[in-house]
Amino acid sequence: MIITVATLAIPALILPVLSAFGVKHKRLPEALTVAALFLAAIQLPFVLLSTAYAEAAGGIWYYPQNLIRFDGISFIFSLTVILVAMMVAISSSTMLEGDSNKPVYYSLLLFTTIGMVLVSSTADLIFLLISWELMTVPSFMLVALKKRDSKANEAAIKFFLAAALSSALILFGISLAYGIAGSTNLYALRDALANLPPGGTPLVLLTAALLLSGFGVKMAIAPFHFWLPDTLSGAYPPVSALLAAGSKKAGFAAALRVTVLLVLAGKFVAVAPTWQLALGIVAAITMTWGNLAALTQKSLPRLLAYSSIAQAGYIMIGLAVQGTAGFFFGLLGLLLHVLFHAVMKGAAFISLRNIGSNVDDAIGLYKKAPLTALGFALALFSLAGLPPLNGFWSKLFLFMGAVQGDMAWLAAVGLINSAISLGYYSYIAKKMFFDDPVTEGPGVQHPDVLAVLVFASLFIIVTGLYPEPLIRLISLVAG
Amino acid sequence: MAVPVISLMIFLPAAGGLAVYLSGRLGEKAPKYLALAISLVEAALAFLAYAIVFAAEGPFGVSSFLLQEEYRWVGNLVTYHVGMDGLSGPLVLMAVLLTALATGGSFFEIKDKQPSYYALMMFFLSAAVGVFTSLNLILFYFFWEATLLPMFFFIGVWGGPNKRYAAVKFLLFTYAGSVAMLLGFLLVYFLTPGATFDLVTLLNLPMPAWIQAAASALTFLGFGVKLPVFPIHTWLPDAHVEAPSPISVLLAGLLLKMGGYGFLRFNLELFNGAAVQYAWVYILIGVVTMFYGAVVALMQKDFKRMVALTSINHMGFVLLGAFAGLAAGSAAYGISGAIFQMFNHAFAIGAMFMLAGFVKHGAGTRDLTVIKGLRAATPKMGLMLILASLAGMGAPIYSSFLSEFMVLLSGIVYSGWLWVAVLVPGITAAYMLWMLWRAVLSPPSPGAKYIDIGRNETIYLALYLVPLFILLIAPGLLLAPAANFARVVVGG
Repeated sequence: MIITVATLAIPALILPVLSAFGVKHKRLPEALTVAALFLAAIQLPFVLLSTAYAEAAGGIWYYPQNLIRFDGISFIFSLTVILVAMMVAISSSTMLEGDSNKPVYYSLLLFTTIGMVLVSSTADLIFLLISWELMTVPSFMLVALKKRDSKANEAAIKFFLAAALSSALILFGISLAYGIAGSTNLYALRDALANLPPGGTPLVLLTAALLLSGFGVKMAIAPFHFWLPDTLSGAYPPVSALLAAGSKKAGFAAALRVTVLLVLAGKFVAVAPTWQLALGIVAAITMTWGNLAALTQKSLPRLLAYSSIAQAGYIMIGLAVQGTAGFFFGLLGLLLHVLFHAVMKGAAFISLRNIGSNVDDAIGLYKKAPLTALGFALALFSLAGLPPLNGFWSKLFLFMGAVQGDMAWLAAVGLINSAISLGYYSYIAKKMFFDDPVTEGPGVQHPDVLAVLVFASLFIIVTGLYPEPLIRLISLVAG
Repeated sequence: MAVPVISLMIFLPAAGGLAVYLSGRLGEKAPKYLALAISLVEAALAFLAYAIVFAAEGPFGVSSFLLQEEYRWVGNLVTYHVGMDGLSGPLVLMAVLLTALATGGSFFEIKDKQPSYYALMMFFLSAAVGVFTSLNLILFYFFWEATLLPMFFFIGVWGGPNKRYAAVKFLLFTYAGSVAMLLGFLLVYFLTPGATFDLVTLLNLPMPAWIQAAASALTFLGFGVKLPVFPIHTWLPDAHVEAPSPISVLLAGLLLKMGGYGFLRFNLELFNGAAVQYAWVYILIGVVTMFYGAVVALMQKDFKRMVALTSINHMGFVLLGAFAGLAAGSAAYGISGAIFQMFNHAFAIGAMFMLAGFVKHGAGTRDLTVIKGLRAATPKMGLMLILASLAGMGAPIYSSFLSEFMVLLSGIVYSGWLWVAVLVPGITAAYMLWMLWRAVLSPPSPGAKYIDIGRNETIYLALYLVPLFILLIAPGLLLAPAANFARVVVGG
């Protein structure tokens, strides 16, 4: 794990220094970044295996000391965020042509990726908070990169305020958790919860609610979603992709790590139905709010932002069914949707570089830039959950989890929401494919964006037609 | 069975679609001929499969799923399990023949973006065969939804003036129905003891009555939108009118039949108890749909819209026949009549839709109040209009007469009040004859320049009517397997 972090950290530290010393190679920053991310990605299975090997003898294996436990769930989340970071790194290549901030941009991207990987593999609450900040602080700067643009500044300020609220809530939650357990270690917390007298439950619930609200700001679940549309519409499209597809997922990773503990601790059973119901209601409100708001948007990044709020609602189903009979399908669906949604939403945001920021910019896009239009449409239809695209499978498992966990109403809400969401996705598809372009000539076609879109389209179709290997992998590592 | 006929029928067009798209590089004409060739090979396969089904199901056979193939796909949860019985056999044959006809018909009408068009046609065929042969609920849903996107693009890209609205409306209506259906499937999975999506297993499991009622109500939404039934039919006239003629053929011939197949397979066979209990609901909806389609068609000025509403009217027969047959124990003519009706309707209405396209091309309009004297001005088109209308109204020179008669008979056996349904063929005949009287047999208006169809078009249209002649003379070719299916449903 330390090696993985170093693989990412060394280029991140070197890049700004190189530029300070005047090393100017046009493609060096992105090449170095992509290489580092790739190297980190191929280490992940070995890190996971080493954990499994060490834990085969029994006990919990931390490495380094008491801070990190890299388990199957960490593996899926780390893989997802590294994948997103790679998509972002490749697609930003032509965006910062000639910009002196380019090495810094890539350095920040690597730092925030380290933060996301650490958030998803932490075993200690204080370490979680530090990783959380490592993830968040570089992304403020990424959002504010267009520093002369007032919208970008507004986006960054809003993001900063929301993140400050998030950190405060998490810190408050951590202090309560320390009060309960006398330790900030997650597994010590679990043991303490199991030994708790029955009267301690309200405090536990308050702790969980505070932590979850803190993570919820990043996950953009209602009512903590307000910052997301403003922030994502102000930033560069690849940065928005990073936030919507990457750091949102890290929020879910953190939430999953904490709530799993609560479920595992036996004391929780008494209030479990209420807790599950509460999370289910939050999920239902989040997806409905997101979808209804997305229907009225005229700006593409805002529309995609609301759509990603709605998707957060679907993923929440996986958290809500924890501790019920639907746990297996719920967790499988959650992890699968995290991975699939990251690719779909990442591709959708990144393709905005070739499209523009207004819904009307999509008019006649197929005639002007066919590859972009196809890639964007595939991502959108997959977000709606249409087979034969991969979004269908992850949603299917989430809804199966809901029905099995005695929350058929939640599955019904989710399915109705899928139908609503197709309303705005098909509206954009209509504009792209059926309307005639208003401007003459070919559209913008950045080759780096197209490369990412081709990868994402293939991923969406192939895992849509044959999701079995991924499902097996997830059942194996998360089992 | 050594040769996986069904898998070939599913994967040949899917792979062929890619080849068709790429063949656009070879020359302008390559995609359409390649697509036609693939659909003819597919037709040969369909005849082979049907022959196997017919031989086993024959007049005295027992209905079961033949040509079964089962492979793991997504774990044990969703298996790739396909097969054919007396219900799916005729429908697969119909789907494949009609797609071949629609592919050929596209030669007359589709001039731009041919590689994408014919490729989508092949993908659509693949998904349609998948729908009719799937024996796993999620696999069924997968194919069912996979037909949506090709159809969305067919209407939206190659459609008429109001195509954008029609395409989006079509997609949203059918998807909204589908998600309800999926919820029904999930309930079945979790609330029956087997915890399986496998249809063959589910058919042999007892299912509590309330689950049957809940699941059939949910799946009803999915199939009802497709069939379509009143009042969730409003996408259909828009979609049909805007779609190019060959696509209208596919819409009416295949997409609507998926709804009918869904009713028969799931609401009738799988949720059998609920079907018996609530048969009166389905019958009521069926009769209302029949009357609605007929009466509204009577008022249409646009020829194509009139034909589209005839589809609604005819699909009401399917609902009436199937559920009246089940409830009254008159399965031999009710349920098999419904299957027969689906087959006949596909070809009769296909010819009508192609004619709508030719009329628009030849007369410049489809407005029945403007067109005059087609018989005199355009003899070939006039003749084909008369012949096709007779098929549409169920005249006793085609098998559509037989199927409508069987369905009405089963309705009357169920309840004496249903004799009122006999009015529907009467109204249908009335508006068809009125159409002929107004537009075809009237004296030609002076100054109007009409272009007649050529010999190719005439022969092409006759191809639609040939199966209807054959089945009038030898209805057993189709009714024997269908009757076996009906017997299984009533017995089990």
